[in-house]
Amino acid sequence: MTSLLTPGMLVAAWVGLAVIGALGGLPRRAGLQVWLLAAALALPVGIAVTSVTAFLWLVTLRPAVPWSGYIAVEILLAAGLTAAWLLRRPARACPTPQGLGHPTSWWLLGLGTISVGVLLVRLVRAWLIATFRSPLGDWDAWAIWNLRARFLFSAEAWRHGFSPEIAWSHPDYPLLLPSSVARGYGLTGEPTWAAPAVLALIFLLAIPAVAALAVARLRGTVPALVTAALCLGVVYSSLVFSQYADMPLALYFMGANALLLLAHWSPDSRWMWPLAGLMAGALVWTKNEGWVMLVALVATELLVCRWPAPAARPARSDGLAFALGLLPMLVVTIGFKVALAPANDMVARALWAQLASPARIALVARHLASLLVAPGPFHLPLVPLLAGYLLLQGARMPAAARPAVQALALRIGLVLAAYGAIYAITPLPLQWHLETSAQRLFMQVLPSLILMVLAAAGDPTHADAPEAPDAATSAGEMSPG
Amino acid sequence: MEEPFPSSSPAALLPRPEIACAQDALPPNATVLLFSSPDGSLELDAGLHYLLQAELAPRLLITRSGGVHAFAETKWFLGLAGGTDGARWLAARHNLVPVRQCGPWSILRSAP
Repeated sequence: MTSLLTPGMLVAAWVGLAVIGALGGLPRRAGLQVWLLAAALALPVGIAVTSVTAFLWLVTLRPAVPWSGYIAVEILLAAGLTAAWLLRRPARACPTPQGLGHPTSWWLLGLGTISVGVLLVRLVRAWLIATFRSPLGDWDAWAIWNLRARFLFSAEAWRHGFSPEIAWSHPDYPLLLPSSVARGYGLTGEPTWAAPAVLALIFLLAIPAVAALAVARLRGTVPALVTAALCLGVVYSSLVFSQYADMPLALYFMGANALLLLAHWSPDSRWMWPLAGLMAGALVWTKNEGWVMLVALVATELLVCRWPAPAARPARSDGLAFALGLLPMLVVTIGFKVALAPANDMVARALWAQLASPARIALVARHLASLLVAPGPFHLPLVPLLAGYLLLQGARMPAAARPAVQALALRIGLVLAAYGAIYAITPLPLQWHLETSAQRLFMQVLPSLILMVLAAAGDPTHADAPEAPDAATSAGEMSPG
Repeated sequence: MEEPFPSSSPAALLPRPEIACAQDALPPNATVLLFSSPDGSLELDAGLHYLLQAELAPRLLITRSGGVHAFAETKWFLGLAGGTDGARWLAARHNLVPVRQCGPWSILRSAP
C-alpha cells in the first residue's frame, strides 16, 4: 500500500507546480534555472495546499466522500490550476541570469558540486538510519505531530485529537504537518511509518534546494553551491529532532524570504508576491512560532521596503498580491484555532511580569548568545563564520535590492528577539525550556540567515567584477512576470 | 559532522505484540482510562502514558493522577492489574468485565 505514497506526492508536486504556473512563474520559454526553482518550490507549495484541502475534507466531507473521492478532487484541482497556467502562460523568454553564464573557475565549480553531492549522500544515509532507528521520529514527532495525524486519519475519533485530556500533546498546534501525514495515511490506507518519514526527507531536501536556487538566480553558481553546502549541514544536524515541524517551518520562512528577495531584486517578478504570501500563510499553518515570523515579515517589509516610498502603485498591488496569497491558510488557521483548538497553555499561563525581570532576561540572552557562537554544522560556529565572511566580502548588491536584504536581516533579528521574550515569560522551568528547545528554534532561522548572507555578499570569485546592475536590468531579465 | 542519530527508539516499524493486541481489543473511538496498579490507581514511569497514547491512537487515553480511579467515568480500562487473576479481582470489585490480557496489560470494560 505504501507504493501509493509516491503518486500522492507527485499529485502534491503537480498542484504546487500548477500554482506557480498559474501565477505566471513559468513562461513558455522558461530556462532551465526557472524550471529548477519552480520544481524545488513545487513540493513545499503542493504539500501546503494539499494539507489545507485534506484538512477541510477530513473535518467536513469525509463521512460522505471516501478517500478515493478526495484524491479525485485533488487531481481536479491540479488540472484546473494547470488549465489556468496554460491559458495565461506568458510568452517571454528567460535570459541567462547574471553570473551563471560565465563561471570564473571551473575547478571551483567542480569541487563545490562534488562537495554538495557528498553532503547530499550523507544526509540521505543519515535519514535512512534515523528512520530505521525511530520510524515515527523523535519525541515530539510521535507525541505531537504524528499523534495528531493518527487522530485525523480516524473517521470515528478524529475529534479525540483536540481533547483537553491530552493537553500535554499541545492540541492547539497548527496542522500543516499532521494533515499532510494524515493525507499520506489515507493514500496508503494505514498509519504507516513511511508517510511522516518521507515528508521529513522532502522538507530536508527542499531547504538546500530552494535556498541554493534562489541564490543562484541572485548571485550565481558559486554562492549557490556554498548556500547548498551550508544548508545541507543545517538539515543534517536537524536529524536529532527527526520529523518535527521545525524544519518545515524553517523551509517556509526561508522560502518566503527568498521569494521576497527575488521579487525586490526584480520588480517585474510580480508572480512571486502571492507565492511569498502563500509561504507566509504556511508559516502560521505549520507552527505557532509562525505567527512571530509572519508579524516580523510584514513589519519589516512595511518598515524598510515600503515606508520610504509608500505611495507607489506597484508597491500597493504587490502588497495586495502578497495578502491574497497569505489569506487562504491564514483563514484556515484562524478557523482551526477558533473552532477546534483548545487554548494554548503557554499563553494561558504566561508570566508576563517576568518581562521586567533583568535576571531572567539576562539568562535568556546568555543562552541565545551561546547558541550564536556554538559549534553547529561541520563543528563550525556558523553565525560568526557567516558574519566574518560578510565583513570580509562586503555587501555587494544592487542598490534597489539593498532594502530587501536589510529587511531580512532585521526580520531574523526580530524573530530571535521575540523568541527571547517568549522564553522570558514561559510558565515552564526556564533552564529546562531553554535547554530542550532553544537550539531547535534557532535552527528555524538558520537557512534564512545563510540565504541573507550569501545573497548580500555575492560571488567571491567575481571580486573584481562590477556590482550587479540595477534590479530592472539584472534579475528582472531572469524572472519574467 | 557528528552522527545526529536519535538516542532512543520509542516506536518500532511494527507495533509491539501487546500493543497490537490492545489495538485489536479496544474500539478505535474508545476513551480509555489508564491505571497502573492492581488496586486501580495510577503511578506511571515518566513518559509511559505518552508513548501508550501514541501507540493506541485514535483511542483516547485518559489519566487521573493520585488515588484510585473513578471506575464509573468511562467504559474502557487499560492497566497493570497483575495478570488475569488481578484483572478478575478488579472487575469483581468495580463491576467490570475483563476483556483481554495483552502481555502485562489488562483490558476491562464496564458491565453492560
